[in-house]
Formats: sequence, structure tokens, C-alpha cells
Amino acid sequence: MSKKILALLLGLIAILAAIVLLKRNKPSADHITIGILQTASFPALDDSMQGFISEIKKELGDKVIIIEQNAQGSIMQAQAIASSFKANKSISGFYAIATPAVQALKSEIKTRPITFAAVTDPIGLHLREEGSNITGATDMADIEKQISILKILLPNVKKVALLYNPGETNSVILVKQMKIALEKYGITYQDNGANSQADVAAAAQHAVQNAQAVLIPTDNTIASAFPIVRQIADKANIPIIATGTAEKEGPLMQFGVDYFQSGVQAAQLMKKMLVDGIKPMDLPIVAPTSSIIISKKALEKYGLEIPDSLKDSVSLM
Amino acid sequence: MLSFLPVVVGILERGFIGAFIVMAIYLASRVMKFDDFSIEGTFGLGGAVVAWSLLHNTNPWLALLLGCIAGGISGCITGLLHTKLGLNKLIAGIVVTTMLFSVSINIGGANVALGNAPTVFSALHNSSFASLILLASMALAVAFIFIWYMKTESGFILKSTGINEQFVTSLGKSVPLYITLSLIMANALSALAGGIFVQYSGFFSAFGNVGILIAALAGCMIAELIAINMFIMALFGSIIYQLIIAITIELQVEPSWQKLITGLLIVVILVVKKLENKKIKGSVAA
Amino acid sequence: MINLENVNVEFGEFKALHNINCSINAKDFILILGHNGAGKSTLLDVISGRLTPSSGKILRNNVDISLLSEAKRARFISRVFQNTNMGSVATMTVAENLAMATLKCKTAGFNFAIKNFPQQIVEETLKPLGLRLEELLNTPIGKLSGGQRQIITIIMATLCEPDILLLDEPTAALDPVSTENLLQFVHNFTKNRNMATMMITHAEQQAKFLANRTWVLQKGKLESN
Repeated sequence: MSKKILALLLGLIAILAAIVLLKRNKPSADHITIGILQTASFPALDDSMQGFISEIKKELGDKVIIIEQNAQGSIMQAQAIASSFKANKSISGFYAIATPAVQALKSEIKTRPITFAAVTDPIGLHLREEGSNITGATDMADIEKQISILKILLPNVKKVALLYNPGETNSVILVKQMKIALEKYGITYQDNGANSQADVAAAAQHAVQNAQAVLIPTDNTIASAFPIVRQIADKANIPIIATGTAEKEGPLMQFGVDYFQSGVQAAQLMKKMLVDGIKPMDLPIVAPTSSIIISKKALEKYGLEIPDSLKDSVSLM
Repeated sequence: MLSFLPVVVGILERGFIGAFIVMAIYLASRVMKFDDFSIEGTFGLGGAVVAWSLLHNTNPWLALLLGCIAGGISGCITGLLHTKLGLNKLIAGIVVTTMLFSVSINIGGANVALGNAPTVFSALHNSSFASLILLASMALAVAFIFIWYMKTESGFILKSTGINEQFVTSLGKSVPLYITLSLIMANALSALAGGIFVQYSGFFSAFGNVGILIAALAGCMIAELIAINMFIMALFGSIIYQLIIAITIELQVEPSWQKLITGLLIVVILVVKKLENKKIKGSVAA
Repeated sequence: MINLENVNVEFGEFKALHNINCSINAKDFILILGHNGAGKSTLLDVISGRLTPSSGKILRNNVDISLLSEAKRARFISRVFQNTNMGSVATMTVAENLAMATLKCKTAGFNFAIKNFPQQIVEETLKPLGLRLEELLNTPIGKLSGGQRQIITIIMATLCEPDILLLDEPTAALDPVSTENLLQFVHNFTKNRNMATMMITHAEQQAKFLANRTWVLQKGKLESN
């Protein structure tokens, strides 16, 4: 019996060794290898990935080799990938998409540079402490500005429903800031949590029954079940105001965090670190270029008009 | 070869952490015949409690102990739901897991980084093997405690409960007590794994337990394939599972297929097992 | 020693046991006969505590035990089932099963269980049987034949000196030779003990020699006492 274990163990280790040695022994003197760790497959995160790849290829051309890994939402898997990355000495820089990915990379990789995108609270995650090898692009939008625009566009709204997954750190942080801003503008609010995609419909139903508008932060759970939210809100005639759902239609107003652009920014940071040799701590964290998109269709539907004071700061779609 | 060693160290480290969950699954599903879904939830709970404790300046070892206790209490609740309220085993586990998600995010937050809080590993960062040795000795220590326990009077009754409840009743022992006891131990183990993982990776995420159950189940089945003593095999099973995962990572298998691979792995193990059984039966007949 | 007073067991409309009054004394060996469905097993269930009577009392030394759980009654009431698998743990060895059976007399602690193995059983009971059971001590009990297993089960059931041993068709799953052996064993094993024995059987002729009393149950009623 113990022979069998030994054989199995040795066999697997041999396979692993063969793959590692075969794959990694390529000379990489004139190439730059970049390891990408994406936390899970969500539209916003996929955008960040594409933005990064297109920009890094533009900057570095054929010299760049990209190793793409996706943890499929499993933290243990993210950790396994990070440790595989750590062992792969041919990788010179890392790109982490979303919070768990950057945390996993942070715990394993201490010297080589890491950039990130789709992370809301880099300071709270201790990513920028002295001597850190990490910088990147946050997706923290200017919440207060958004709420002020909301107030101008929908002056009659007295109560909004916040729809988000309390298990997503990005949402929790954004919602906290939204509440502060809402209080400042005298709008009351109500929490509607959905812990999984299956709960989104129920939470949305509750949201539209109790408020005059639904406010959605950057939230992967809600975003991936967005069509159902839209349906429910449409039926109840309640406008949706969202942050970066990557949905073209539906929300009356969208504070677009352009995730593709975040990926581009992360790629630029990566280039500065790898090619220009700038230290990560000398590269400040980049904020997203946020745009405010208002849906023409929705405007008509709710019989609204954009006040003159806003016309310059929003784009119609 | 130098680039290969850290891969193996990583595999072993994750394997030893996973071994606690494999032992938990073995204890619940195999010894007690109680497929307890809440083991996935208590992994998160253990992590949340440990993260909270560390951020409140608790000694990291004490934090692990608190995590274990929280896991044990949760296991006790699953047990009571089944034995006292008569909830179906699967449903009791699912109900508790669902509740634990809320408990965990309220204790630990959706995602929290430990920052510079001391962990059981932080003193060891000088040597690359120190963490591995620490994890290995913890896993071995727990395995030996269970090997010892299973030989005691109480352990005998616990084993018997999973096989023949009527017999345990005939011995004048309480079946519900021993079912609950096994769930307390299994969930404390899972919470311990969650706590160690948080200290190892430096952060807690509310979704950190996603996929834990299936990974541990695969580890458990690999372990059974090579069984000598299950608690020692738990270590091997978990390590071999991590090896296989590492191979898929190194091969850069399209990530979206990875869950299918885990599922296929389990099917393959079942088939191998079945073939082996036939071989044994065949030789007896011959 | 054990007295049943006006015991009724009802499942909805169906009366499984009807006004049972009887007493069981030390050293009694009672054969219980009756057709299938006459209430034989139900009678043992109600004594051992698997069932709670719908009405009536079960007294042990004049103390009412009818609300005591099965596990609590196990200390003084032992039961052997017709299914040979039910009285032991199939995956454990004969020795381990015997060691475990001694735990009925005490709380299970953290000593090594195998240390409780009742060594005297080998010389006093197993060897005189001449069935070479003592050579099977380290075999998983599930690998034993039904007859061998039932003998071990009866030894296990009596290790802690119960007041009463309930045998529910212990020979039902056995071939004629094993049945003969088992009945002989039961006779020799019980005759010098202080405990009472109740045995359900369909093999009335073969088992008659064991008994000092015979009860017949018919449609839930005790016909002869």
C-alpha cells in the first residue's frame, strides 16, 4: 500500500517537475514575462484584463509574454496561483485584478512589482506601506459628486434603496461613503443585501417597493444579475442609478468607472516600473477616469430633463 | 531545479492546511456518515474569528483557539438541529452554512487585511522552510491526536455510532451526544484550517471558503484510495490534491475548466476504486 | 423483578398490544410464541424502551421505568436482534467488540478501549464451546458467520450482568446446525445465571427444552401466562 502512495506522489511530482522545467527554461533575456491573476470572471474584471493586455502589448510589443490565471472565485486557488507565480523566476511583474488577487499576490511576492486594478480600498488593505512593491488603479469613484448630481437630476427623491452584496468589500466601502453623502443631501436610505446571485431578485423586489430610486455600487454580484434588477425596476417604474455595471442600457444614470481604462492605467504603471525602473512607492495610486452617463431612453421614460447646470458634466447615451 | 523547490514548498504548505479540512470531512462524512455542509461555513467562520482577534491584538495562538471554539459551537448547532429538531442532515448543514455567512461577514467584514498584526508565521519569515515545518508539525500533531482518540473508549463509541446506532443505544450511550460530538470536532478542525489559512495568507475574505468542501472531498477520496490510517492519509490526500491543482496551474489549463477537472478527478477516483474492488473480489473467487 | 401492568401499545387505530399484564422473575426463561404480527417484537420493544407504551406501566423492582429512554434502560435490559448485524460493529474485530461491550457498565473515557477486553471470556466461555471462536478474536466481526456472530453478540449482551436478556428470534437467520449450536449455547450460558431471559422463536420444538414458561401472543393479547 505504501508503495502505491510513494509511486503516486513521485509520479505526480515528476510530472510537475517536467512541466515546470520545460515551460520555464525558455531564455527570457529579451522578453518580459508578466503574470496576471484575476480573482473571478465578472464583466468588470474581464474589462480590466483586456485593457491591461491591449495597453501592455502596445507599450512593449512582442517582447511581452503573458501568463494568465483565474482563481474562479476560490481564495485557496488564488493562493496556489500566487505561489506558483512566486516560484516562476522568469516573471518580472504581476498584475492583480480585484482585491483577493492582490492580497494573495501580496502574501507571496515581496520583491517583484505588482500592479492592480478593480481594488477599491488599497490603503485599508495595507497595500501601500513603507517599501511596498505594489501600486495600481483603484475603482473608487467620487461618491459625493455622484450623489450631488443625483440630487439635481431627481430633486423629488426622498428615499433611495441601496442594493449590494454585503460580502463584497468594494460594495461595503462604497455604500459606507454613499450613506455619508446621502445624509449630507438629506436623502434617507435603506439597505437591501443580496448574498448571492440567487438572492438578487428578492432584494431588488424589496428595494423597489420601499424607495423612489435604486442605488447600486460597484458590485460584482449585482452586476452579474443586473438584467433581473432592471426588469424588476422597470416594472415598478423606479429609476436605477448605478456605478459601473458595464451595462449599456437600463440605469437612468451610471457613474462609469471605466474598467478597461483602469486596466490601461495599470499597464502604464507596470511599464514605468519594469522599463523605466521607477519604484512602486514613487508611483501614486491612480484614480479612475469617471464619467457620468445618462440614458436617453430612461430620461424619456421618467419624463425627466437634464438641467442646464449639469449639461457639461454628463454624457447622454 | 531552484525554481521548482518553492512550488513544492507551496504545495506542501497548502496541502497541510487542507489536511485539517480533509480530516474534518473524513470525521463527519466517513466516520459519522453525516455529510455536513456546514464544514464549508465554519472554514469561513474560523477565518473571520481569527482575523477579528488578530486585529484586536490577540495572541495568534489564542486566536486560533478562539476560532476552533467558534467552529465547535457551530458544529454543535448543526448537531442539535439534526438530533433535537429532526432536521435532515444536509439541510441542517446548509442552514448553518447560510447563517454562518452573515455571522462571518459581521465578525470579519467582507474582506479584511491583517496588515502588520503578528501571526504564528510572522516570527518565522527568515527561513523559507520554517512555515512549512510549523504547518507540518501542526497537521501531524492533530492527526496523531485523532489516531489516539479513535483508540480510546470514547473514540470507539464515536466510530460505532456511524456504523450501528442501535448498538450504541444498546450500550446505554446517547447517539445524539456522539453525533454532536463528532460535528463539534469536525467543525472545530475546519475552523482551525480557516484560521491558519487567514494567518498564512494575511487576509480574510468572506468568499474564502468557496470551493473548500469539494477540494477537501477530493482530498478525502484520494486518501481513501491509499488508505492505511485515514488521519495520516488525510495529509497525503490533501497534498496530492494540491499537487494536481498545481499541475493544472503550471499547465495553464484554461482556468474556467478547473472546476470540471476537480469533478473529473473525483469520478476517476471512484472508477479506480471500483476496479480495485472488482480485482479483490475476482481473486477471492479464483 | 419486571412487571407489566395494563400495558397498551396503539399505532393509530391499530392495537399492537392489548392490556398486557405479566411478571418476569429472576432465572425465568420465557419462550414467546405467536404468529407474525401478533405483537411479539412489540412486547420486547416496550420492555427495552424502543417504544413507549400508550398506557400502562412497566415496573422494575416496583419502580416505574416506562418513561426511561432505551439507552438508560440498556444498563439492566439487554437485547439481541434477529438481524445478526445489529448487535455489533461489523468493521471492528471480535476483541474490540467485546471490549466495547464492557463500556455498558461505565462511562466511556479516554483510556485505550482495547484494555477493557474481558480476558476471562476466553477461558470461561469461548474455549469450552469448542467452536474455536477464540482463534477469531482479531478478525472483524463482520467476517464471521451469522451463528458465530450471534454467539458473540449474546456474550456481549450479558457482559454487564443485566436483569433480563431479550432474544428476538436469534436463530431466524441461521441454518439448522447453527441453530442447534446456538440454542445449546444459550441453554448452557443462561442456566447458571441469575438473569431472566425472554426469547421469541418460531422453532418451538427445538427451543422447548430451554424454557420454564411459555407465552403465546395472539392479536396483541397474551393468551397463556
